[in-house]
Amino acid sequence: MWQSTSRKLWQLFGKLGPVFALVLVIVIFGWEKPELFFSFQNVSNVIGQTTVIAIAAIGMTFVIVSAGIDLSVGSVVALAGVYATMVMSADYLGWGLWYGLLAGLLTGAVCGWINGVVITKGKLAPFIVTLGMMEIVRGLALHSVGGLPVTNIPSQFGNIANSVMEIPLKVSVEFSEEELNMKALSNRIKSGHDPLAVHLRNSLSPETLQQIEAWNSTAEVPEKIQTGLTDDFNKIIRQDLLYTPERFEGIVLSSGVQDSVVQNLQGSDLIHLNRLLLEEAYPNFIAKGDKILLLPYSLFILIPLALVSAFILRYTVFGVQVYAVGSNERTARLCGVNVERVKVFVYMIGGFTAGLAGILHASRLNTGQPAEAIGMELEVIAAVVIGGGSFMGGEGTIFGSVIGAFIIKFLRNGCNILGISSFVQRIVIGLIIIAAVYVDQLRRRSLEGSKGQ
Amino acid sequence: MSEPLLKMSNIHKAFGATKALSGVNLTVEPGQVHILVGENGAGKSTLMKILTGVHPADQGEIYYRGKRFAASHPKEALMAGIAMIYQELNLATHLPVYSNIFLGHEILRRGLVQKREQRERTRQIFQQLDADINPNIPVSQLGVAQRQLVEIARALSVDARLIIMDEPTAALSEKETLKLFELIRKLREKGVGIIYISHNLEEFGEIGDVYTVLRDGEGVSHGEMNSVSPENLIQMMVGRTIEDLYPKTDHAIGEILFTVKNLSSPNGTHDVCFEVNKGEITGIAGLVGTGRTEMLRALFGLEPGQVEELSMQGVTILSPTPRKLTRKKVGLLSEDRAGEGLAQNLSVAINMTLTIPDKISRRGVVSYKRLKDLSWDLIHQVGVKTESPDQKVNQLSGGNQQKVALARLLGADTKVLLLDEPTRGIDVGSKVEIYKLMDQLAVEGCGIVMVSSYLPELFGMCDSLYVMHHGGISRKYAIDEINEDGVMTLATGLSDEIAASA
Repeated sequence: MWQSTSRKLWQLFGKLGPVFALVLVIVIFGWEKPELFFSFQNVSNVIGQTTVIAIAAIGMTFVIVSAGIDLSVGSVVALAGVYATMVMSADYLGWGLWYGLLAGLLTGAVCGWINGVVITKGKLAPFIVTLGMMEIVRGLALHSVGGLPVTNIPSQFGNIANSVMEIPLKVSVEFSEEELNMKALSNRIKSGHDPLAVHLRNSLSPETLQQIEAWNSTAEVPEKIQTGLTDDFNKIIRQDLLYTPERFEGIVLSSGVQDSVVQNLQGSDLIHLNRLLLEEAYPNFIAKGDKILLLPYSLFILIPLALVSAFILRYTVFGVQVYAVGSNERTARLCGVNVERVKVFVYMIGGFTAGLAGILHASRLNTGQPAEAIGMELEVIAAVVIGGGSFMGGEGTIFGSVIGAFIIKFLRNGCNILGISSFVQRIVIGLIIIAAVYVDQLRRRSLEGSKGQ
Repeated sequence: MSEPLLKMSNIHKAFGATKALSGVNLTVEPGQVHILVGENGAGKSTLMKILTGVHPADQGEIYYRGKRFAASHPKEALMAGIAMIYQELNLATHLPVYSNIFLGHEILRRGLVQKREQRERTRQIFQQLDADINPNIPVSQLGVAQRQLVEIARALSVDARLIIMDEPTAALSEKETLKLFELIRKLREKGVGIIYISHNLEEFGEIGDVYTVLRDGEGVSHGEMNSVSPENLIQMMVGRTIEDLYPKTDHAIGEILFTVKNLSSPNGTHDVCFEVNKGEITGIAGLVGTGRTEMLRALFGLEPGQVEELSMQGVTILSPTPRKLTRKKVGLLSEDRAGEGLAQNLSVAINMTLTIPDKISRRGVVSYKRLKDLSWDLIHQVGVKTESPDQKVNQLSGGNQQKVALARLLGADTKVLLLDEPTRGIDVGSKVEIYKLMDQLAVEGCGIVMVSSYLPELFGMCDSLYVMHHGGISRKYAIDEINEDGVMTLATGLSDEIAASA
């Protein structure tokens, strides 16, 4: 009884382990610097960075599940980016966006196909073949553009990876009463750290400040505002905000605010002003402002790709055969599986996703860089392994690999936010890879141990 | 006999909640062969692992040569003179024979390995064993029997006083087995104690002095070997009576089902012809390494080969591949269960249905419901003991694994089953169940080809017999037309019936 329970727990852990790890990473870093880590800007940034790795990791999952390895991913990412931009760039072919995208995808798929064919026909170790391809493809990328970046490309290209979808969250569209009322404004002027508060505190006369402080103790706000407005206050707000906005370090006033300030400030205007200023100062501030979720459009490439791939790997005969080839190639052959064809397909999928990742990477950079993504294959492999893939083959899931990619990127981002140097980051990530595989081994051993004597 | 060589008393061991051993005793005198029997999972391996320091015992005492003994590591046991020869031979196949023999206890001088001395010692040991093996060639060039000799030589190289042999004859032919027994007798004369683990009932009486039977982690019986019959032993092992070890029933033999004419292959098979009829179990006997497995692999298209004619139910199959043969309802059960027969870390269900994607999918999309239903049917049909079809194969015992491999053939509605060593290394209970299944299939009209190195099972189960020697094959003998001597005459090449290799 005890054993079957612990076994079920281990099995569950095997499925959800990477998710736990991701949650753990997010909680640990979020705990330290929540306002930075959880800002939509930051989350959106990390997602944008992750999609490139995650998409390549999807293809790598197929390869690793089939007990193979593809070391040429980083080079293919660069070559696909270079070829895609070359086809688009007015400096080279100038055929426009769509042909460029097609060229990028094709480049990846062809590289993968070559990997697969050489591995199966030549009966060579995937490690060696893809190591060779890594050099060949990198050389091609550098040679074809003389080592220089490809520029002069259609502006829409950069939008693919760099534009975000803004989703206003209706959770707290309005500021709370507390924040809008005069009490809050009074408090803010008295002790706030934002530029406006600091400025007002420094420029208002002591009498005005006293009056403002008095707002704080009154319940009936509107009445008091009328009497509380002094010329001093009026003047400073009007002058400084209207004529010297640069003093507020980047707070650009909308016309609505300007209009309010031009007129003699009334009580209700002041509430309005308070609100507008808050909004302008903190457009993405989770705790105070209207919430806007920024989703990079590349996420809408990653998610469907992941779903389709997971379906293929899990619910198709081809997917079952990929697992079979990876688990025991000889068994697969005995059972009439066309092992060679499965492998060629697997490497083609790996190449195709690397090509797609290459397009997104180039789009992020807004240029085709032949020397980009060096060593990216290792990050991609790490994502798959952290996500539960096994080099022995036969194990690994798309879901796990995508989560693995997020773990790596959130980890790097968290380290950046906490000011941990990139040198130390590498140590941390190395340790995590080893720990992830170790925990997975423990799980596996405990499952097999239940076989008995 | 003053004091026993080894005395293990009241050994207890649990893995988690599973009790592997509870209060087992085992005594070995010098110069004694102690037969240790029990079904898979009875605790034999665990007991030996405790002795050799792989696992610590939870409770109990071990006395070795009169002193308290507790090895914490296999090397410690080895250096104390307790050598284990595992069922799966543990040799570094790329290294030469002499390096393997001294692996882990190299002869060193100033930290450098003394290869010449190792070679010399190896030669001496082989002389002692009367074995003709070149110490310098890599182990990969040796056959299974010779590898076993290398393992034994390794044991002797540390001057082992106690040698544990786990299923040593599983991969040996009759002749090699006899040689091994001779060797065991020699070791016995020198006062070496031997613990001999086997499923092979016929061997016990021949070689054993005393026996211990383990069942479910307890020693259920022990005594003098000559006071017990094999039938008694089986009964004690399984805890129930097995009426008949070879449950062959009468089955009508019909028309010819499968014909092979002049199969030759680069890996040694030449001009092999055989056929199997409906409802017939035909055996292929021969020594290990004589090319039976290679022949089946070439026939199945797993290795290159040419065949003049291959026909199934009158339909000719050109250039065979596993896929084509599977479609024509011909199936092969691999002799290498772990390495080829099954994908160890995939589920029972996937392993059972890998040959029949069409039955579990529609337009390339797998239906997990169908997969599960089909697997349950097969599990019940062949009697696999498993929690569910989702259980991974590597969590099953050897016998159950073999049943999964057999279930795969049944799932593909196989009419001709080529079974390569179907009962090697599995416990008696499972063996009998597999024999029963074979018999039932024959009754239903399937044709079965059984390759085995174990003559009693061939004579016990087959209707007819072929014998292979050096890649060639004899004519078909009806089972009552030939006896064991006749088979050995053919298998060793003493008769010139089987054409020599071209």
